[in-house]
Amino acid sequence: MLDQVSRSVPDRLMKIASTLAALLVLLVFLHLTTGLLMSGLERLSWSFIRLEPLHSGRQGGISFVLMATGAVLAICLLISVPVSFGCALWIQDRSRSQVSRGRKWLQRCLDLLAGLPSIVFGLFGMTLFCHQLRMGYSILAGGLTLACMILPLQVRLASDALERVPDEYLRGAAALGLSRVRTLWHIVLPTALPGLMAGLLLSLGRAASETAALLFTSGYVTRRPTSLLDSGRTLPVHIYDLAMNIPGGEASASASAVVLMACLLVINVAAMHLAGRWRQTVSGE
Amino acid sequence: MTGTAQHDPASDRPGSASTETITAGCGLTTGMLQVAHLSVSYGQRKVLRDVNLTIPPRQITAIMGSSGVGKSTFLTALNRLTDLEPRCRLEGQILLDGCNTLDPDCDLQALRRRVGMVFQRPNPFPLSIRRNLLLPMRDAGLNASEAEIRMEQVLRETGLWTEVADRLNQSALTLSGGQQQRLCLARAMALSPEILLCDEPCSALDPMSSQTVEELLTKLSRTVTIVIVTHNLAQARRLADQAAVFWLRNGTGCIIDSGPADRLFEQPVNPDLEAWFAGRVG
Amino acid sequence: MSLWLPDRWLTTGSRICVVIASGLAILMIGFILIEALPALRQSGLSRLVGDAAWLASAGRFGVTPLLAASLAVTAGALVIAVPLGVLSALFLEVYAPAMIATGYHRMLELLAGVPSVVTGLWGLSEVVPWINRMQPPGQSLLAGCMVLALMILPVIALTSAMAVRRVIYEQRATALALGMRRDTFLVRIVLPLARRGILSGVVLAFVRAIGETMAVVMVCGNTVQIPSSLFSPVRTLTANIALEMGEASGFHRSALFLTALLLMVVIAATLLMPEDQSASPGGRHA
Repeated sequence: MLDQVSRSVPDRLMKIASTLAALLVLLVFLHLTTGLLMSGLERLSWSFIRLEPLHSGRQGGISFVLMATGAVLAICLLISVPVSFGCALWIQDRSRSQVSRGRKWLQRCLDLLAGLPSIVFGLFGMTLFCHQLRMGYSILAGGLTLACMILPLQVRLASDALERVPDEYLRGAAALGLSRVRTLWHIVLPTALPGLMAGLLLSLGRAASETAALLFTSGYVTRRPTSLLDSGRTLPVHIYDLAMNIPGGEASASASAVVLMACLLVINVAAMHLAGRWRQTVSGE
Repeated sequence: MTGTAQHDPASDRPGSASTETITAGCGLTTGMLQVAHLSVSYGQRKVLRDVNLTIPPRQITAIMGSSGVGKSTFLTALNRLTDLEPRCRLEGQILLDGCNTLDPDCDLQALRRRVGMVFQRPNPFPLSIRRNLLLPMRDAGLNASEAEIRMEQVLRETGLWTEVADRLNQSALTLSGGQQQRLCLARAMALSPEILLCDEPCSALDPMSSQTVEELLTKLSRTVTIVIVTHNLAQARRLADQAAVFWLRNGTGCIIDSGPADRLFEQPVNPDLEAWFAGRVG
Repeated sequence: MSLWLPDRWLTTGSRICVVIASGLAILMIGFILIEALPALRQSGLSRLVGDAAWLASAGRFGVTPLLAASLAVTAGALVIAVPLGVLSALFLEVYAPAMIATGYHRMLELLAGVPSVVTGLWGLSEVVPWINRMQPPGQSLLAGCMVLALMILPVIALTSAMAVRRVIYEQRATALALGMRRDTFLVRIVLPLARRGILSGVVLAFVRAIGETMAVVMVCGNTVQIPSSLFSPVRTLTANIALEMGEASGFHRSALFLTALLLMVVIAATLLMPEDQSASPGGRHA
């Protein structure tokens, strides 16, 4: 019935309206992406990625920025992945044995964190990490702030992945008196791994897109970062600075944006591929 | 009407051991389970009420009843797998050699290694055949060589050795349904349990595999106590030495008769039961 | 409870992680409250709301123009994105042939993944000049609404699509058996039943829009004033925090924390509202 040919006027109108709406969105999307590509590809080249920023970034490249971005993301994941995985394990354990008030409480806390604007995380991170804990504007402070921000997303993705492990494996393992560690290591992890990796990549993509939380935690500097306590700007911050504060910086900003989008595209495609494989392994048996 | 069944120690089955006296403490393994006043509830709903049953060692006890009456629940209470269900509460006592397994301090891992389980649908791990068998054994403390020996032993016992010896490293999921179920049996047997719980182990299998599994269970019952849940009366008649029948009374399951299988089937104590055996009632 | 040592470590370890995660939430709320307290105590709520201007150098911290800007830009974005999003969802689930639908879905997912700075960059280099030609300066409330609308449209469209798909799946056999017309089916059955799913998407979009910082900083102009027209430059609560937090200290910083608290209150109120809605009669199941 849904694919019938339109016979009535109202139906035809609705179809036209929906199609026009979809077309409008598509056109704007294409306008954005092609505009970005066209202005960015001029400046984009291998040397752009290799060289360091010169003249506040108008010239040269983004190598130091990429280094700082990598460092901040590494710190972020190093902290948030174990914590989120631990939470996901706890949730999985709780969900099987009892309807738990503790679980609802954790869920509320995480929902709260998930709703907070990123600038609030930035403000919090700046005051706590940079000032009170005296880290100054540093990669470490930026990574910590980012970890706080993506924690709720990671917990949700990880516990989704663990939940998809078929019940019969877990019951079989329990009936054999198999210890939790062995069950986790030999059965749960291998089965859930693609899903867990997909979740990791998705949260990595989210973290890599973040700007507001990092403006005043990891800082603005375009120098080469040599330690975790050095300040360093990430790619999104670099784009923001070039667009807003540096006259003549639009070309570099666009080129940097193309690099950022390309990285995100790779991450998301990999995540989708893994998620597809994971769906296959838990259902196709 | 709850039946209280006591197994007659002077059993007339050739070769069956007489019941040994239960000592006060743990340690003496006899493979006998005594269930006393067991009640199971999910949240507010009572599923089983005041179940009393003695499961004698090294015999096949069939747990029967129509579907939904609580047979599987009863079975999963015996190895405390009910702990995995949310809001499931157990009351009463389940004595394994005198020790109450419903005690909160009971070591569940040790319990489940003594009381093994085979499920309705075969559930091998997504690992190789070898790993499926070795994993629980290594976890239970056997070293590598002991485990390999035992693995071959149980594979021979279950008749799988000739079928899989040349492909032990292939995934267990490549086996047929019947083979997978025998693998699960082998896996449970690898830990040398005293008691083996079988939850309708043949219902997901074709008749040929079903027969193989049944013969296997009969063979195993010489050394291991077997408790089998079945809704198939013919199967129960074929296999059971002892039997217990669950029935719904006021929406809750309870035992209405138990005892030696021959007596139970020939002389049903109850017109409902008689009708059921005769196939007049589903 | 397992007695094996590594099992115990695993249990303890995961408990510690849970404590960290929930502790973090409490820490953040507490921290913001404590930092905002001086501003709250000293100025009092009435002064903060009544004061028509935010000028840190003059010691004036009226949040009204900022709050008005945040609400206006969010409302404008929703006005654009909700109809377009719901229509897109219908296109996706009803009108589009399978392959086009898949492609459109992918495009929406890609759009959802565009970072806010990149959308802001596009806004700055394309939308603002275009508005400037109509009415200078280009940086304005309208620019903010348009850019935000682009950012929140995917979440509305995708959530609505999921809700619509589920309702169609459940109801189509009935409608088919009754010989219903497609547009009647959609308007009288599908959309009303999918209302809750669509609403949850809108709520998510609201939270995202009101919390957005970078894109609005880049295209809204950052003048502190209650917007008098679509073309007025405005500064939202979030933009204000971003622009001033670098150099704020003492009372000024405390005031910024207070605006953060205000944002959190607005968001919390919005998130709690749908829970009341779902309790009202008119749910699907009798």
